[in-house]
Amino acid sequence: MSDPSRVRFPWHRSAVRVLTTVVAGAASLVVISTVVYLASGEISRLDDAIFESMAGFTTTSLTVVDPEALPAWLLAWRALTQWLGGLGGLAFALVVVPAFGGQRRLSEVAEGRGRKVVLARTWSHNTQRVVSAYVGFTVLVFAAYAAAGMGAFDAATFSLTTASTGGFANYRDSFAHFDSAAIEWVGAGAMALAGVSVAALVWMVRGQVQALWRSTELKLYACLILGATVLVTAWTWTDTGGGADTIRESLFAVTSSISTTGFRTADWGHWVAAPQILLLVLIGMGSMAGSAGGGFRLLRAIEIFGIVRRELVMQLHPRAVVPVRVSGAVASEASLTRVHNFQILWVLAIAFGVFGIASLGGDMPTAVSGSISALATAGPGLGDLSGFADATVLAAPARGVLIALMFLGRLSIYPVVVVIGWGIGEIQRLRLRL
Amino acid sequence: MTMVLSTVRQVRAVAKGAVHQLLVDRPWNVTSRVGFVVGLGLLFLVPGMLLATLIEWGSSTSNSEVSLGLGALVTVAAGVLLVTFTRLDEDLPPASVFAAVAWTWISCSFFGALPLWFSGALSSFDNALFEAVSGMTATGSTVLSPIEGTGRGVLMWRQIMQWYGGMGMVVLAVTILPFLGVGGLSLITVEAPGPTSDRLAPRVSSTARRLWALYGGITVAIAAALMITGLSLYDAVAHAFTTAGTGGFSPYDHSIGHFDSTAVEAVMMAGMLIGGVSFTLHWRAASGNPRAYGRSSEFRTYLIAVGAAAVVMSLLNWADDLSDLPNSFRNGFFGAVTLSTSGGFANASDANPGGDFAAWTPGAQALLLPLMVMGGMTGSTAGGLKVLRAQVMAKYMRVGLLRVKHPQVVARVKLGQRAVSEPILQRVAGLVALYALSALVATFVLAALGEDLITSSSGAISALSNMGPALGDAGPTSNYLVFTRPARGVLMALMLIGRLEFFAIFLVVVSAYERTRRLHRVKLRR
Repeated sequence: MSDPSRVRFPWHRSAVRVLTTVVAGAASLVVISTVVYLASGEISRLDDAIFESMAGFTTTSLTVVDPEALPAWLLAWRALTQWLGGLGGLAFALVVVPAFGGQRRLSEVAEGRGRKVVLARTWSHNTQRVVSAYVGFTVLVFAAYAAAGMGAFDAATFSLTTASTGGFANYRDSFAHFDSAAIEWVGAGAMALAGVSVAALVWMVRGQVQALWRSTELKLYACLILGATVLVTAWTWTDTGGGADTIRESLFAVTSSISTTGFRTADWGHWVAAPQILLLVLIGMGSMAGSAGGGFRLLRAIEIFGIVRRELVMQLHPRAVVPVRVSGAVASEASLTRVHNFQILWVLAIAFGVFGIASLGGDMPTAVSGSISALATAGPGLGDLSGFADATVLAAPARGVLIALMFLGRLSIYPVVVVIGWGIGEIQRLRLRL
Repeated sequence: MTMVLSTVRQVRAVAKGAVHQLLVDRPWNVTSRVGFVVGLGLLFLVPGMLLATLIEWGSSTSNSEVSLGLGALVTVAAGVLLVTFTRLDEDLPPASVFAAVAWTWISCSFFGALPLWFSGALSSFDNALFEAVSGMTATGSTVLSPIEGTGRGVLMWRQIMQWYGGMGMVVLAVTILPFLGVGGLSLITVEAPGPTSDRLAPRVSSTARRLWALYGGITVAIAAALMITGLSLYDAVAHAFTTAGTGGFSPYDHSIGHFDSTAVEAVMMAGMLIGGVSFTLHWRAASGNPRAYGRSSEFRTYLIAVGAAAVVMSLLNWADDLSDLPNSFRNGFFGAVTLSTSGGFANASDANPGGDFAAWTPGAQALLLPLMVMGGMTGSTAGGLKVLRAQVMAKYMRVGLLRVKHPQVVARVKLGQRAVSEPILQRVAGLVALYALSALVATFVLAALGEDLITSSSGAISALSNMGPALGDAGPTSNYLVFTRPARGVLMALMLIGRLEFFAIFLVVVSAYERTRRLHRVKLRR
């Protein structure tokens, strides 16, 4: 291996096989969880059980059950599905994608791209690092919640759903239940860290400041959180009474959105429109690549910015060679093409989602915000989905659209589309043979 | 005899040289590529202004002919001054081309606002400017309220501006921009192979002339068809101007709903569709090759997309009991055509309330947004991303997915029989990214200025696509006064950005930045 940042997969399989395994694995987890919910007797309808499981494994905070009516063991299971979903997303992004075929496909991981700082050199070592970082972070969040005054059970479940950017809460009114400034500060900080890539977390622990400083994505992430918090604070200052409470609430809303977690402290639907739309934009942009969060990912957004800049410069200097740089390293043309394709797929998925939800009974704000939020695996939205609303505000068929969007969003769309395309091809071949 | 002839020739040559030196070289003048083009553009507006003045003078309803004439006078003065005291350089670097185009549109909007402002139809200049930008970019968003009661000449000037704006775009897209190596033309070449197919004539100037002739012919035909359906000469001409240019202004408060006539709507739909089809195809059909339409995959995709969307929307509206089946189809098709061609007319009236697409069932509204984004064909008067780009992006995506599956596959994006080269793909992809980014930022800015999610997002898309009405509060029966003043300023910028296909306006900023940076560097070196 000439490139030390490349991690080799221990077995050689075709891309379609690997992707099929991933999609089938995710689907089977959902099936297992659905069986658990149905067997518990707490959820009677099949579609509700599927929705709840899907929201769990895709780390979306949309729910169709009243958590306060569930027994403790089921709440724990619910939180655990999100934690496993977050781990699965991380494993997919950091381990499977960069490794298969020894090639860097799908542009999920860029922390190692063109850089000397890498997580690990072997596949198993890499997996180990990711898992231990994730587990360590969860334990840390648990300790912080407990120290801030949460009960042991709540601290455990909330730490599971925070570290995974899941957003399931044990209470109908999410974080507002505790009515505690300390818990909200801890929650905001934990969500902010949950949206950071695992690689950056490892660098933080190791104190590799240089590596952190070089990451354009991390800097952008920090700036977005700061800038958005300032804006939201300014917009809601008079509505919420001003002072430290407003700042805390704004920061909480911003980190909950950008990390695509979806915890709530208040009914943000009472705000003026601007901060609500800002939060929706943050949800869409989402977290850093290589984190448990969802969304379009900041890394891709940076590459899109680079492409746009290059396009403008090339109009003035048609023969110029303008590289697109991410974190100081030149992004390959192949990765830019993938970002383009991903952007188109992303927009198409949202368009289909909006059409689906709108024609199945949601109004336009609900449809638009709901599709973006579900695809980004966040949860909160505008319209009917604002405030502490759960997914039951939508009719069952529209919830089906959300299920599909959450699944697509968690798996970065590509694998699902490829596997479906492969499946159609296989069926056609079968029919030909017959 | 031969001696006389040769002497005459010599004299003619000398005279020609002198005239050339006087008019073209003009050594005493300032070299300003931008100023010269802007001056020409302004002079170009004058006949329209004079026509509007004449109509105002001839009508008995109001008497703003002096203000209209004054507007024309100021425009002539500015145009003549610019053309006389500046000269065009032989070589045109890309930066100054973009600057010239951008400033021409900005100044034409500025001077186009003068008649509206002078006549008092719009009392504040920023509103007059909004109306003029919306006119010159053939958008069709209006802040004039009520429209009826304003002088007929003033109203006609709004229509004429859209006619100019519609054609200006085609000339820019098919002649000026491609000539300077900007995306559009190379795409048309790929779409319809052939040595001279990219331009209608070997020379760009004659291409422009042919386009104008075609455009004029289409306008006359639409006007004639509208007169047959029973409209007065004034109404027919006024609507023909904005239909051919796919603008969307109407001298009536209820737009097309004023007539409440299926026949008028059918003619307008046909007119808008013609305006939304590539003028290259029209030219080829007009010069005896009507099969050119059928052979263009972009044309087929365009019709299929608009037709399919129209049928689905009609059925959804019908299922939601918005109106009976015939009216649902009437409104569905009118809406699909007017939104996809970026016309932006409204056929809603008291007798036909189902024409108000901002009140359609949400599912149908969700289909309107992609139609607005897609727009018409390349090289047409319609706005939006253009069908061809949508096609290219869809195929690009398919190839990308194929590469995930088979990493070593050799797959190319094909249009018709030809493969699209990698640089063109990147161009198209870059433009799509630029569009998405602009729409996102614009939505956020409009929201920050006080609009709700649907109004701001659809308003941004509508302005970028030069459509006109949007969804939410800014629907077809509404008025752009619902936006706050700063938001209207943002919308003006968006309309110009969208009309000039993004690059011109952005690059004026970028090149100014580059220039200052270069100056800065020189200073540092010293």
